[in-house]
Amino acid sequence: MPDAPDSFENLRLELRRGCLVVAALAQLRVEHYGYTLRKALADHGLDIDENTLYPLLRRLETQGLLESEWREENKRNKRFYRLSADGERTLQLLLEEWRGINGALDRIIAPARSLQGAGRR
Amino acid sequence: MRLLTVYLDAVGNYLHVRGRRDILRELEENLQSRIEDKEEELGRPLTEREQQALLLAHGTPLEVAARYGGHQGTLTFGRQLIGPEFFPMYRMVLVANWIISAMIHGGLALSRVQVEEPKAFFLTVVIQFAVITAIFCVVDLLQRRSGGVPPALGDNHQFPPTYLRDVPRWQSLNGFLAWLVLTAWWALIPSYPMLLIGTAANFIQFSPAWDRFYWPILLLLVAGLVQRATNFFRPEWNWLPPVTRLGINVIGLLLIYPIHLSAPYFTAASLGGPGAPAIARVFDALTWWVAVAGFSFFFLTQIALNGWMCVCHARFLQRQRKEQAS
Repeated sequence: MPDAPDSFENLRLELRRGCLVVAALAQLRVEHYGYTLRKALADHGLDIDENTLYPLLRRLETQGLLESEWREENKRNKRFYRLSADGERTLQLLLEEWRGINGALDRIIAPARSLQGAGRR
Repeated sequence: MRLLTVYLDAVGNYLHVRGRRDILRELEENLQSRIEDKEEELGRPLTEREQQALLLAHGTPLEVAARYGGHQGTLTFGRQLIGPEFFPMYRMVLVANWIISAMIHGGLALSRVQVEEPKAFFLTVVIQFAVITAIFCVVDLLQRRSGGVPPALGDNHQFPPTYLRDVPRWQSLNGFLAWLVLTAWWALIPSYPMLLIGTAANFIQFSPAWDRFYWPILLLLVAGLVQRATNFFRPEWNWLPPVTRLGINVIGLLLIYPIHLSAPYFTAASLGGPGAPAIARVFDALTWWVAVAGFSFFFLTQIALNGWMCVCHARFLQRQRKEQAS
């Protein structure tokens, strides 16, 4: 029998993985460098590990969804990321998809909840 | 920022060449920002221990590199035989052996001392591949069975990597004492041949060929002693052991050829009796096998290992210089 906490952790990571991409893309409508992006996401309640974020940014850039540029700020060179035109289009599609999934999930979960409530009564 | 440089250097060891510089720059920027934030929070600079804790919390160099699409490869035939922890060293040892073999075979062919067939070279290459691969497979297997990656290459406890740590004084002292015994033994051999050949010294004696390589070997032993004594007083000179040992082993390897040409190494003593020539022949063969065959392999392995360490140091120094320049 699989270990329950382990399987929950795996499922949680799977669930988060797609959401992180959407969150990073959405946050990068405003230009950020890695460190401030991570802080901005954390401020909105979405903690993301650095070792996940940086490779993700590189991957999204390779896919053409992000653009980046090395620039000096506070006497240090930083790599600034922003959403590309392709990224904006993809983000819109992803958000539509997400809203669709979210709505569908709500519709699936709501009857199950009312059944649970009826069972308790 | 020495620790940060060391950390980035260790991560860089596992990254592919393509994109390595860019990844390390970004990683450096991020970690520097984290360190500065922490310093601002505490209102003081971070101690070395705190910096180390912060870097380790970020992940071991191997883990961090793996997130960026991995390491420098593995050796896999159906199942993984040599993992990413050992693979860079395996590749380095193999390539170093091949280069040295190519140089020796090429040199012999050019000097026409010995007719070298390409077949002989390819046979050497194949044998080296088989032996080195087998050794690394066994080491990798034993390491995994003993519970994980080798400490020097990936474990939290081994950051900074061994080659950048101070050389422990106990290690220098032990090495010095062992080397002193070895040097004294070698120095006394001409006066007391039985230290090398036991009771056979009653029947045979050293041939004049010994004079050609006795002193160079003694000097190499003394160089080893000086290195250990120096590191006892200057443990922070962590570059000294690999540099000295690389030099000693290269010279040792170069001595093999004159040793090979110097045979016979023993002759019958004037009062050795009728069996003495046969004993001399046996000791000649033994000396050839130990000195030429055995030590060639030993020197090649040591050259590869210490050469790898020197490369690590050189890369670290280069990075440090660039950092200072920027």
